[in-house]
Amino acid sequence: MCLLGGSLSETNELDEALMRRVQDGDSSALDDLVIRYQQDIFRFCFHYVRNDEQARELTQETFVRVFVARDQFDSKRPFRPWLLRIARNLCLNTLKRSRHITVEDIEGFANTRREEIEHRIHGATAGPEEAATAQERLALLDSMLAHLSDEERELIALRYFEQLPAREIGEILGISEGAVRTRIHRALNTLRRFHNEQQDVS
Amino acid sequence: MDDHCRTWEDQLEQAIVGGPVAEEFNRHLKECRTCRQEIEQCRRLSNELNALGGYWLEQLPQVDVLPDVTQSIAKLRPSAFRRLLMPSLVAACLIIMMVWPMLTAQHNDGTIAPAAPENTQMAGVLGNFERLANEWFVPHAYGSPEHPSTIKTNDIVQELGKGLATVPVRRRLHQWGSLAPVDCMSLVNRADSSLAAQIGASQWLPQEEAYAVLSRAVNEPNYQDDPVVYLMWIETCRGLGRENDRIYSEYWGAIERLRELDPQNALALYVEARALLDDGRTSEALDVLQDAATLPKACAYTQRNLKYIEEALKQAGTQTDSARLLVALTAGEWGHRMLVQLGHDLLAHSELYRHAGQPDIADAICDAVHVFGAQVVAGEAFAAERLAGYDIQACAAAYNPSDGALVALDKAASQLHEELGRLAQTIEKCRNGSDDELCQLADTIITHGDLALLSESHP
Repeated sequence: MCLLGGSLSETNELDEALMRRVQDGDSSALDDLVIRYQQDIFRFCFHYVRNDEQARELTQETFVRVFVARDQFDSKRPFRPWLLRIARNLCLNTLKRSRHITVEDIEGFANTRREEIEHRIHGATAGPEEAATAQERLALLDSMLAHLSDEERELIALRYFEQLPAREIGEILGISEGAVRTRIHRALNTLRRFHNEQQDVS
Repeated sequence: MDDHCRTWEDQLEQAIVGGPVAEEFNRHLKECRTCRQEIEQCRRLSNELNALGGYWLEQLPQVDVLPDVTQSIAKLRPSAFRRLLMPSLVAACLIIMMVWPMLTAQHNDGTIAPAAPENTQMAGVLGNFERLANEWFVPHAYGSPEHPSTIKTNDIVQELGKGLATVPVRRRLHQWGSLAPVDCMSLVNRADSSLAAQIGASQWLPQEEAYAVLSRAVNEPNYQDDPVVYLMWIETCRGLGRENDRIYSEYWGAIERLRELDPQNALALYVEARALLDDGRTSEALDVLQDAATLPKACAYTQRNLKYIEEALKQAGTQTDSARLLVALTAGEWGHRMLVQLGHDLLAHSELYRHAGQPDIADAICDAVHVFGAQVVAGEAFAAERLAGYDIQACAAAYNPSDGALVALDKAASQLHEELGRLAQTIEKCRNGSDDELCQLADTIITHGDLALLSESHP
């Protein structure tokens, strides 16, 4: 599954044309962009905040920011990385603020999150056997990702969950494509080492 | 994996996702079992991540934020009034608050009386600051400055003889120590004037002309590392509005550059926070304000600015010694104006949030402005700028008063008043000496700031 569905080459020109209309005061063009990208931005935000409601609010805020900052958009450049940068900045700010919360808050948040995940899995349409396997895999993924730094987790999410190409990740994070590849490889290596250690223990 | 293998790190990732890799790396793979194993394991891992990520994300609910986005934007639209007119109204109220006692309470001898006593503690504290501001910071808005070429050191000494603490003398000094826009224009248009002099003159030029001068300055090797030039440029770009994309992008670039040039000066962060608030990017602005509070000081680079002003005065015709003395006696005027304006701009945003029913954000901005004022006081060696710091704190306290803030402010006002009194005495002492001593005094102020005058070692 690819983030921001469809092929880039098909949608890019239209995105920028829509933004030009937004800049000219055509609010229906923004509606089109919201409809086109809202689900993808929601998923994108969810990777950072891991909370449905927060991700939804951030999605909404992202499009409001797109409107507020419309004059800053350079229509000669692609829209999607610009949109993702706005969403990412909002997510990082939210995370930064949430780090001021107490240990009790964190524990409470962790429990809620665990319940959310379990509820999501049990509520899925898959049969009980499939759900149990998925839960195990999800738990393994969760525990493995917890061993990564924030930056590594972000890269893994962008690359493997959002399926973004390294070039685009570089544009969002403000680093070169080569640096993205190197860092993703390091993150994968950390995961691999942890995976191997787990296997050795078991 | 050894060091040699590490040189292929970016290629390894390509190999893991099955992308094209360099021929040389392929040759390396044939010989290196470790790399092959690593690629194989990482490939399995990335397949698993893909599958699990996909599974996970498919479980997320569908969202429809369009109605909420439309509603939020509809709320934003009337804010053209709130964002443009309201800050102007708030600023106008503050200016009236500052200027009113000056307009209504003049003694016969021309000195400014303290503001009329009020019943509340708040009025007392603020009145104290208004008096200080009126007595010690006299902007040159009382008419056109006299032509600088007519000013001699003797004239300055004569004026000082009338008593530095009186408003007419300080007003006269400020007139002499600045240039009328028409003089600035002729200076800028002259082929033989230096860029340093033009930078100095830009502080009294209309925004468009100032922009032309400063745009050149930031591209000149001699000036492109000077934070005060960027600070002037930021203020000028902001003054020109955001209609012009190029200027608006230069505005943001200049803010970023100022941060780079002096990461320890909180002023750059307050300037950035104001720009973010102007753009409606509230949460980012609050984060920046939080970061700003962690820095020790905020200053408007008065010392650096003095050399530009001195150069402008000299090239406009003021004698060298006179220019230096005037610059010393009026140091910090631009910084004071800039800092107080920034404080007011931030407080105007705070008021907007209060009116919009978001008191938490309003209080957060207001608290940050109070910290900003304290950082200005801590950061500057010039009385005019320290006065700006206290002034900013006084305004913040007026918006969101607390007993502690008012007591601290009252105490600070007395201290500042004493300091300024001592400065006046020192200048008076030098005035009674020779012209050389007066020039030496000017050197000391320009080099070390007027705080240096308060040290006991000074004659």
